[in-house]
Amino acid sequence: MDPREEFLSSTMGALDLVYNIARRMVPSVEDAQDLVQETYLAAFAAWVKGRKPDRVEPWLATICMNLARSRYRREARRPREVPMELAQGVADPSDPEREALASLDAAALRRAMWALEEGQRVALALVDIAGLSTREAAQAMGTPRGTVLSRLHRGRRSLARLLGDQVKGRQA
Amino acid sequence: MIGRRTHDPERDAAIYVSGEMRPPERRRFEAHLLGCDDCWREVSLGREGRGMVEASREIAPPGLRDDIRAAISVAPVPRRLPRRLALVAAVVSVLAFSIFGAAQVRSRNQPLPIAAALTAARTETLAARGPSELPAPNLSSQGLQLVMGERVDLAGLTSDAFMYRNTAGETVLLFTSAAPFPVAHAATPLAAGVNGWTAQSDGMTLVCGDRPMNYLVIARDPSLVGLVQHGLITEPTPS
Repeated sequence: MDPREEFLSSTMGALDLVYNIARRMVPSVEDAQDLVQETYLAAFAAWVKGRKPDRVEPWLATICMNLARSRYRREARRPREVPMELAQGVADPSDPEREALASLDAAALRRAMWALEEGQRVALALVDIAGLSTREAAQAMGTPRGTVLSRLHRGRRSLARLLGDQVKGRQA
Repeated sequence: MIGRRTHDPERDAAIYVSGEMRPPERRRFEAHLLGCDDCWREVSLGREGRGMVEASREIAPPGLRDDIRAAISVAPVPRRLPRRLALVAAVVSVLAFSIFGAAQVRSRNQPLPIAAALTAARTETLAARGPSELPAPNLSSQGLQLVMGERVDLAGLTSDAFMYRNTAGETVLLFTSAAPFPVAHAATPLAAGVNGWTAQSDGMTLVCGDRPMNYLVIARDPSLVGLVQHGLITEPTPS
């Protein structure tokens, strides 16, 4: 099998995951798209050298984060307000809480995410969006699992406090 | 967890909300939750926050998938070489990958072969499928020296690619193909009486024509594109 096709068929399923991580590492859509492409190119370079992972998701997540840290570090550190042009809530009509969450103002949600510390934002992206386990996230972030758990919980709690009133208002 | 170490509502809430407690631990913790206000509050906030994060999930833009495919289609793949050559190739490929990694692919909205050609021009990297089948046009009269010629696959469009360099070290890429090249996004027709188009993309100038063969020329400097175009018309005979 052509190595390009093998690589693409093994990794393209994780595109949304990588994109979501990139969106939380760099503030603009354009930069996020560039970061995703760089991630895939770097991953492919490793792939053709025989470094094929057991699970592509944590592997791509790690590459994406390392690239973001090395190239976009300065920009990513400072929270900025950016439009959430492509945000799409996942709504389940049978669940009023979910529905209220999905109807949350996307820009407010994005601003709240960017108001978090970078470590919290990344932990949330890896675990709650990308679906990595906290152990995998710890490996990707190069931190102990306890740190990831702490960042996760504080990030979730901050969002709940920042936006909780909006959700409750919509549920009422 | 509860019963095994110090009571830690934040940590327990994080593990519980992440769904990482084993069934016996989870049952113990849920029993504990009913009587612990601190843990109940932390779990409630954690669940609420997690729901918000999940609601912020986005779908990658449709064009991004195509951009990645185009970029990968021209990314170099190492070939098996004799040991001495392999060392040289390794150095070259590391350089190529470095350039590739540093490049920010911005060929959005372009047909895939055009996006692939742009990536090759921007990174000055040709991912060869083999040697070029057609001889390289001799453009030395235009002050351009051939650097390499390779057969490449531009996202499904087979092409011979030739890289030339001027005395200042600037490069220009010439792609030729038996099949016509797709028209680039926002292209404008060439002058009256000449089939083809020109376009700007990613800081590059592109010119495409069909005489003396289907060709696509890409360079950062528009004058280099003009030199190649002129050379093809005035000296079509291959070297």
